[in-house]
Amino acid sequence: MREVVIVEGVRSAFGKRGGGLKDLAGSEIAAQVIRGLVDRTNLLERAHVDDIFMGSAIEDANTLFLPRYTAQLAGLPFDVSATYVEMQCGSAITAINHAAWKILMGMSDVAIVGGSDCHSKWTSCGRYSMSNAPYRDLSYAPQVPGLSPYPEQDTNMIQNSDLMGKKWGISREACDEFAYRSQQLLAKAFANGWLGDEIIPVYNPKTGKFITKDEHPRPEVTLEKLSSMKPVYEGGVTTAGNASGRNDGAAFVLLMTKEKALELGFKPKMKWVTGADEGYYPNLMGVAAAYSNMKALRQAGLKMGDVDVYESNEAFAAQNLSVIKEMETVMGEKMNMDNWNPMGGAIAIGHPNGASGTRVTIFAMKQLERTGGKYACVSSCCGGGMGTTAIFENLER
Amino acid sequence: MREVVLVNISRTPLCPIGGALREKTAAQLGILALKDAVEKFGLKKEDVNTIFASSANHDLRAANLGRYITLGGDFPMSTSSVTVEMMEGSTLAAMNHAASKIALGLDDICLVGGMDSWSQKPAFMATDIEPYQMIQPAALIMRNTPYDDEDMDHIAVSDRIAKIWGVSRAECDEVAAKSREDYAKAVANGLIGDEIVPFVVPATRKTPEITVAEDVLAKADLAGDSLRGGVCTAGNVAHYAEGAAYMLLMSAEKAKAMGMKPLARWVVGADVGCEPNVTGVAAAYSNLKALKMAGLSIQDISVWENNQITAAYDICTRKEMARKAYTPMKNARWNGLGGALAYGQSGALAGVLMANTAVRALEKAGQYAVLSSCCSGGVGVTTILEKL
Repeated sequence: MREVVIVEGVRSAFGKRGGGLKDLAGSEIAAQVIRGLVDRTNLLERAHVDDIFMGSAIEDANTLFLPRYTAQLAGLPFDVSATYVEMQCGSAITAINHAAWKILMGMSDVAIVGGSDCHSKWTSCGRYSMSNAPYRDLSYAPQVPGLSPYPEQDTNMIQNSDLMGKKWGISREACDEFAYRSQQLLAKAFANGWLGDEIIPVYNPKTGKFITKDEHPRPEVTLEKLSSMKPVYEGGVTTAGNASGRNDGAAFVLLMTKEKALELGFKPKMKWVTGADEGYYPNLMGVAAAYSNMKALRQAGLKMGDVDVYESNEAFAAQNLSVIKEMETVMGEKMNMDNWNPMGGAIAIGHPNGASGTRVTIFAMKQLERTGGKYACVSSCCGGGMGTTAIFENLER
Repeated sequence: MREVVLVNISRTPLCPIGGALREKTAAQLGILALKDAVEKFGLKKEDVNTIFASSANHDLRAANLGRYITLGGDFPMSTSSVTVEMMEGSTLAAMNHAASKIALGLDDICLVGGMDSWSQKPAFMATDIEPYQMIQPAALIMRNTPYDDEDMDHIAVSDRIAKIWGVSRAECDEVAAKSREDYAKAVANGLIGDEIVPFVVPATRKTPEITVAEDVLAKADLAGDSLRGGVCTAGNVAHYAEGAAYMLLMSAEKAKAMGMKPLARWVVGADVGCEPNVTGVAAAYSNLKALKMAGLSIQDISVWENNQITAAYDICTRKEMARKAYTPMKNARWNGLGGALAYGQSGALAGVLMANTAVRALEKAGQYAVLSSCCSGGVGVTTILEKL
């Protein structure tokens, strides 16, 4: 039976919106990261790459066929196939699942999988309605983007976060403590050298600078400062401090069969065990990750406590805490918080949506490697109401 | 690995750009056709595990196309949805993904849908250009390749590959005429049409209600001038058509349990890239890759369906397959019920449309069908189906 393994994971440093990566489209950041992956692993000399799977939450500024364009920009051979897999913030995790299925089916052997997003280069969409007679056309009509055709489902992310906070009884204090935790844990991980070597420097030709450091973290922030921030909406628990960011970045993992890894001299780090995705209400979308987690755990025959590291993308503190509460309620087990985002999360490091799914996978991989744990459960909620999860097993114990 | 079957197909009629479907966006077409499909397939919405959605042109509003149309289709909140895109080959790719998910035991029932609008094709504007540099926001040019010398549209690629593979204007015109002839025959014989759910254009103050129950074709004039000095004319290049189309995939056991008679068995899928400036032959390579994976040879294949975006694409793909496999390709069984040259290039819908003509052709004769599409940017994608 074929086995799918991850042998390497890399990412760009994540930039702030309008920060060091602002002049690069998502495809351009991604191409440099893939180039870095290829150089770091000497990939093209050792292996034939079959596929690139890639996703993003927002449209790229260069292309409608993101993975194909990116692959060419990265200088990959022309015969590498390309597939776009989109599930908003969970795109990269879903792409990993799709790639794993393809490999297990024997239709692919080696795949580069991940995603990118650049909020600095967010494009607006215009409707040049071809159907209108010219006299009705004054100009293009800007489109309001939406995640649901029903306005009542299409509440914005902050509203969703507050709704979850209310429904799952998450206090403002709990949110700020969780945000503080995220910042502290990330800072500690960097200080201890547990993170950092996965970063591929990205060159911005407009500024002439290489971006090598995440721009979003605020390691110096105090709990007091977080507590003093005004909520975005009155009566809500969500503030800029306990929410993830809107960032620029890309992240990729290298998947192959275990057989191929051994043949090519790659060290298999994690094995893909199973993956799952499940839908949920769009305006409570954040909790969907609890449902995809529980589905994946069921598929893998695991209990909550069997998992040694949970990486769940921190869209918002209220969101993450709601996921934990929902899992605890439904599974009747208590979450061991030592195993939950143990190196911090998106609240601290930022959230370039398409990249976050691979970023959390890389974090899980590093945590398993360092601690010798067995299973990782990697998840993300997705705008529009989807949860997506992948479960991995550590092969380096 | 479980057996995966294609059970049913449902779609809107295809209309040319600016036709009866011109007011609808891709997502709107997708939602409409999704609701019709569920009814036509005799499914309960809660039966569907995952909905895969594809669009080559993307949508005006929805960056999350899969989820967006699932919500618009009023499915239970737990229904999973995902967007899979590979330009014109999207629904073949999505079918391969869905089939893999089912084969591995992760799902039982999946819908795979393609939806595209040319009339309401989105234009994307940059938001990071200094205001004083812009008189009016200018739409970004979406590219398939970063290499300028490879960034050619389907007409430029067609003229180029016609030169390389030695294809004449006359041959292109012949293929185009045959496609339209075969399509008309297929419609007359009832082989194409049952899968269409009529679209109703509402009445206005000035016009009555119109029901579109058949594909609306564009006028095809083979006597026209060469578009750019090569073999391509308006007559031997597929016109732009829009609509939405869905396939129902299930595990074989589920189909049996639900008393549904499958149309075909999904065998395997493959995709591979090639140089963008010869995109039009990409399907040759994915076809050969898929055949190899399936342990089949060209002689084993009775039915070939290829996305005929241009006649040159069609002919050159066959020529390249013959060249690489050292096996001559037979003409008669290639797009035997007509193809895109007749009903139009419809973005992501191609895979579903070809699945329909493939299973119809298999009903007459043969065991295996190979469905393929080249994708702008230089990727070929293939699905192999088997008659049950």
